[in-house]
Amino acid sequence: MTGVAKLGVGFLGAGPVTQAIHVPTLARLGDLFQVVHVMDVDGSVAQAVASRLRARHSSSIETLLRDPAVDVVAVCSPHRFHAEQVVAACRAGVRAVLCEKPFAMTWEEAALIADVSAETGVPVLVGAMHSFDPGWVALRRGWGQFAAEVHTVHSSIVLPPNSRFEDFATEVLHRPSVPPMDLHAPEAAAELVHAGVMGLAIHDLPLVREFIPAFDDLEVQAAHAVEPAGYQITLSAGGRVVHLHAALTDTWRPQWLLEAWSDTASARVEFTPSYVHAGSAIASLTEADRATEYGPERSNGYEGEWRELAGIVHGTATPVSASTLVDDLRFAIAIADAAAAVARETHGARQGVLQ
Amino acid sequence: MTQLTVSASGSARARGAVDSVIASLPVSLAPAGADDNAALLGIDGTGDWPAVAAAGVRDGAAGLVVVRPRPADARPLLLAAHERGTAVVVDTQWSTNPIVPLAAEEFRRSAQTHGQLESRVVVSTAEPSQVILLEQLLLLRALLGPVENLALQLSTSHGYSATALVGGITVDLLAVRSDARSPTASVRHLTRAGAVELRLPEADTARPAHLHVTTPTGAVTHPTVYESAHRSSWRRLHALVAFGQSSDELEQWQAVSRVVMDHLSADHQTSTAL
Repeated sequence: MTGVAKLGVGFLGAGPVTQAIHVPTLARLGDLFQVVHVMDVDGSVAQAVASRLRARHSSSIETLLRDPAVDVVAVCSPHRFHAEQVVAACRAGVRAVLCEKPFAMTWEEAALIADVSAETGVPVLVGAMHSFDPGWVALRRGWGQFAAEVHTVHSSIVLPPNSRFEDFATEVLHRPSVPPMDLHAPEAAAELVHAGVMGLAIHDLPLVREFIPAFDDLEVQAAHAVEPAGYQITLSAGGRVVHLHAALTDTWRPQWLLEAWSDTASARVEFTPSYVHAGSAIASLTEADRATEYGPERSNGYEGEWRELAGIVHGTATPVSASTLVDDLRFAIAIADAAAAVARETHGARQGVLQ
Repeated sequence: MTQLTVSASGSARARGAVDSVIASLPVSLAPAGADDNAALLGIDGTGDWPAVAAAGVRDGAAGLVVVRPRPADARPLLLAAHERGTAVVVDTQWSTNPIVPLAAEEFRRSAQTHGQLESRVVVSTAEPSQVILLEQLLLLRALLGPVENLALQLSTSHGYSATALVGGITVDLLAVRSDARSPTASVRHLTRAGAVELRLPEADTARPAHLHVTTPTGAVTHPTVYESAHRSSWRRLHALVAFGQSSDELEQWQAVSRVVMDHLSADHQTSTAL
């Protein structure tokens, strides 16, 4: 996209995601974007991050939204604030909004965002970076009828604490502490499962939903929390079976896999870890023991989503429909709620056999 | 080295790749002549295989390989083999891979630390459900110990999800049916600090299994063994017979088969087939 003016970016929230993911990503896209304003409720963090970028800073959302240099707002605050901030940004008339996942916590919030986006004409893009990963995108382009024939999907994520990769991506200012959870309590286990789906599985649920034509019959057959943090969920929807697994441990060795099978073919996508710019996923599509491989490419989904956003603003890309974003969120919430309920209900039985 | 003659039915030879195994062990094994009483028998593990195998024991075989036996009551064979001192090796899709004894050491060591144990098999669409489950549980039995408390969470024509206690540890089991690739099995024990991961090919290939151990300071990949599970089974039988030893693997097989058969015959809650 040559010859277009850079878009001014304003960040709502200057925590580790902004610092470790988006600021380094935008530094790779200096021809397209410039960070012009950083807002955080902690003014000292906003100032420190902004000063690295020679950007303005504030601790007020309204101040940022009134800044005429802000073309694009990136919502990177705690999840519970996403919906209201996206709505506020749309009503402020910015050119686009990128909202970190999840872009809402309830279906009602999602529907409101969709309505306001339509009313104001401000496009909203959800920062589900794997949707924009070049390896995944290439697989999707090359899979023919595969997606329609898939019967089983398996997502498996094994990661160390975020700090390991945050520290490879930046030097974090003010990392919020996360209190340990006592998973012996059923409610804590249920909360962990719910948070795991809405915070981690949600990266890949839009991709999983590509294989599921409809999910009104979604049912979770099994769910439990994995110590020290993670989940194991089995569900069925739309005639498909989905297995979701995550374990956040102290390991140095990350693994982020998404696999899918039909009777005659299988797909495997191995993503690089979050935060770091280690290139795209490596994806493969196999039939009768013959594999077609896609990737790795030099850029990853973070660059992909920001390039997509620039394309949307400049009219060279079409935004994902609001109904797709709403349905992606409905899918995630349905899984999170049902899995948490099953985890709570079956917690005693599982605890009885844990060693 | 004692050379032992081998006889096997056509279906046993096909299902267990017996001819290529014999050809790859020309000092240890030789095909029996048509009129010879073979020292070793290859038994196809379909149909009423316990009766066929027991008859072979009574006819004087010194040892048997039962090829991928389906769940059954093997007591007739157990009794006959015990009476005659006949060695019996159970040749399966996963558990007889030559890396399994070493993998068992790693898993049992890792299992002393609390973690998450999971296993997944991806198998042919033609494979019967009870065989998939039996062979997956046999692998776990070989790695970690006795199997009990099998609980099916979801079962469809495309696979299943289940849990079981293996060696006292809860394991999450998955099976997927697809012809996209040759069958594979994997077992992983994830702990806070690392993991033990085993990936196995099907029995009829010398493509090696992979055994990785991840620790806080690095990772170990165990040496690859380019030997099929079938060949490993016949080598093991030859050694048992040549040294006059016995094995309890048929008893272990019987115990796991009982778990599968009890579960399949009991009332249990499954989802409607999708």
